[in-house]
Amino acid sequence: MDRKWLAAGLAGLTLAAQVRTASACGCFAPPSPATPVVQAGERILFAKNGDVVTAHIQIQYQGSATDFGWLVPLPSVPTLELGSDELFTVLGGRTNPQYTMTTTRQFCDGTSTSSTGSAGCGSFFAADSSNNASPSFDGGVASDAGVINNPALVVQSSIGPYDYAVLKADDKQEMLDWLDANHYYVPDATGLAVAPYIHPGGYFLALKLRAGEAAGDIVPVVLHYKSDLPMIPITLTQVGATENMGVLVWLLGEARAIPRNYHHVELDEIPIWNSPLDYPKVAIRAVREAPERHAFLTEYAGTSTVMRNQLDYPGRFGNLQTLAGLTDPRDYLEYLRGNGYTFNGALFAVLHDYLPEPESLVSKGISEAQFYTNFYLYESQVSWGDVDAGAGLHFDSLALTAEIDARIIGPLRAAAKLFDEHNYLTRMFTALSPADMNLDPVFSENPDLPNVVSQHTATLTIPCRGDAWLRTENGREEQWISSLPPNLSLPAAIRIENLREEGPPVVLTDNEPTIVKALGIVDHGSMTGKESDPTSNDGGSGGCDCNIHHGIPPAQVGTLLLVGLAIHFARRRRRRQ
Amino acid sequence: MRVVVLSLLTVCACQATPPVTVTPTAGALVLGTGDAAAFVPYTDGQDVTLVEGAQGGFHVWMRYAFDGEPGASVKLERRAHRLGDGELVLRSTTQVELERESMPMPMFMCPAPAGLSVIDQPIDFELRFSDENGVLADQHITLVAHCPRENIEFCMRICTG
Repeated sequence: MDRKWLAAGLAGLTLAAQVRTASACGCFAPPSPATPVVQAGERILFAKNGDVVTAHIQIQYQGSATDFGWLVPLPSVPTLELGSDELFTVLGGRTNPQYTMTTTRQFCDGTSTSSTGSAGCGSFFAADSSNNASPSFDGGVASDAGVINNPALVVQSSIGPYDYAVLKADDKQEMLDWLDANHYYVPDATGLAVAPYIHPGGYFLALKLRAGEAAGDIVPVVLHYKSDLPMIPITLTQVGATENMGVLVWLLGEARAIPRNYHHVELDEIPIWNSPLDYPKVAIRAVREAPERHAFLTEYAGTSTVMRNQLDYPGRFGNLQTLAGLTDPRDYLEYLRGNGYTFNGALFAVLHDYLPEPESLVSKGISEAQFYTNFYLYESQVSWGDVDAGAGLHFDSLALTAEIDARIIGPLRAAAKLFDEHNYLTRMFTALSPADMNLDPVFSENPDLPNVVSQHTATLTIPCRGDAWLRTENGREEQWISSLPPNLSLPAAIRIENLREEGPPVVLTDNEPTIVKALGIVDHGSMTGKESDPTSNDGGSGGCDCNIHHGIPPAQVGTLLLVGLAIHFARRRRRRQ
Repeated sequence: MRVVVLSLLTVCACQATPPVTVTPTAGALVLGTGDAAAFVPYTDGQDVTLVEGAQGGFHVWMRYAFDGEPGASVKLERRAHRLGDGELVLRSTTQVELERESMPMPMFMCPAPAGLSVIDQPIDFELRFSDENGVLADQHITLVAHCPRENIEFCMRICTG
């Protein structure tokens, strides 16, 4: 059996560049029973309305279309919709941790200059789908074929590029038999991994690409199902996961979300300031310092307005009647460009069927992105005309507009609505290795917890005489030697704690005293050649701060982009040729 | 007078049936269990077996009987504390329809909060209904939850924090 099946609980991000086969979330789908498919990450947005959970799940997969499979345990029969990659791109961008350092250089003549550098540390999670080509769909609402010929089968249907089935989880063998009979290949190890989810009243959603669809057709899936609390079926993910697989989850609600049954870690920012590029490593190290390596860290917690008017801002998408009336492909594409349509894989997937790139251009290596973005350069090579007269292809702007409405606009508007319906947005991250994927994280809320900002600041002061010193927004200070951070071995988590559904965190490990001791006494140097002013690292303000304010001209402020921390492991979807 | 009443009835009869809006009133609450056929009140300190949920969790199923006036869209707060140390192990707030007798609802127990076991010890469960006018009903019951014998290993692993 050479099929490679990825069955996933919930979808994901990619942390490992070496991923070759697949990356998505959830359960199983190895290429053979002995060779697990590599699953490298999960990215999920949860929202809860009453007792209904909505989950936007980004599926990441690299492999052949015939080898794709996805399996999710659910507490109730779900309804399915197609989602949008753009949601995750924007959501990532709006909540990524950002570290901005201001460097103040004090000169001995009493003047100083400042420059500011920033690093976006969370963007390595952002799977930018802008270059993903993926072809056609036939609508965004599930259509129920209703063929039920097995006691385990509840629903069998299709949506967009997917065929799917909802199966009862009452009986493992019955379910596995159905999956096998319907070419949902189940590798050996999966039988054990699904065991915790096998019981009466439970369900599995199985998903695969429809015949003729390409792996590039894979789009996020939106599930609505009855459940008490949002949960990630990570146990099922272990079959094909990578080491330190990242899980990035956003939760919309009325208060700050917490990992109910996982520990929580608060990052020690000093190692990040010392080496902003190492944010992913520090984050992973922090969660691994927690007992059983079961912990989340909160990267953002606060108002959901950061996402308002981001996906469905006023005027975006223009007027669909006008669009449908544009029968010249060039005018049509210009209208799309002028009205906020993102030229990404999702749009190319729709355009592909109505305005296909000529083979002559494909053979020259012109990508779909190039073709659609610079259509005016290539339109002379496209043969359009009256299909009835046999003069070429007919550009059906009406049908294309209907599909864009269903495939692009609808999912984005549905996602945007969630941010209007829920006031509070929380973003959490963890990294888990397969051996640690033995407890499904469940999320609830605690209204007593404070917000968590994603923007972080610090100041590096380089005095006239003496060594530079760093001061974080939390008041911690670190002496740098010759303008370089010291080589300290510090814990990555300043605190490891348990978050309850009310009240303050219960601290399990407080590394702050250890960190403060390691940082030691900071010498603030001198900007005038006077004696230096050492300060203990207790958050107190240092002497040079005072000096700066004594008749010093306004600092010159510049901007320095330290690093583009975008370690993107974006999906590399196979483009339709 | 009769003419006025008849006229009103005529008008009403011609219109669509208006939604029934009943203002709920406070009343006593009894917490219990049982299937749809019969409500069985819990007794304080009663031993209960956790019931496996659909996603691999374990819950205490709870029903209630309410003798006040039911009403739609009231706030239901569900809480559970360990009696021994007062630790909160469940907190949930939802808008529900307050009924005279409810169907069983899950009191989410497991996976238990990190570091807190909910097994083999008395847990104080509380259901509180309220609306904009205040508390309509509030009741506590102490139950001792145990893992089901058939899945005890998994249950113990996720229910003991």
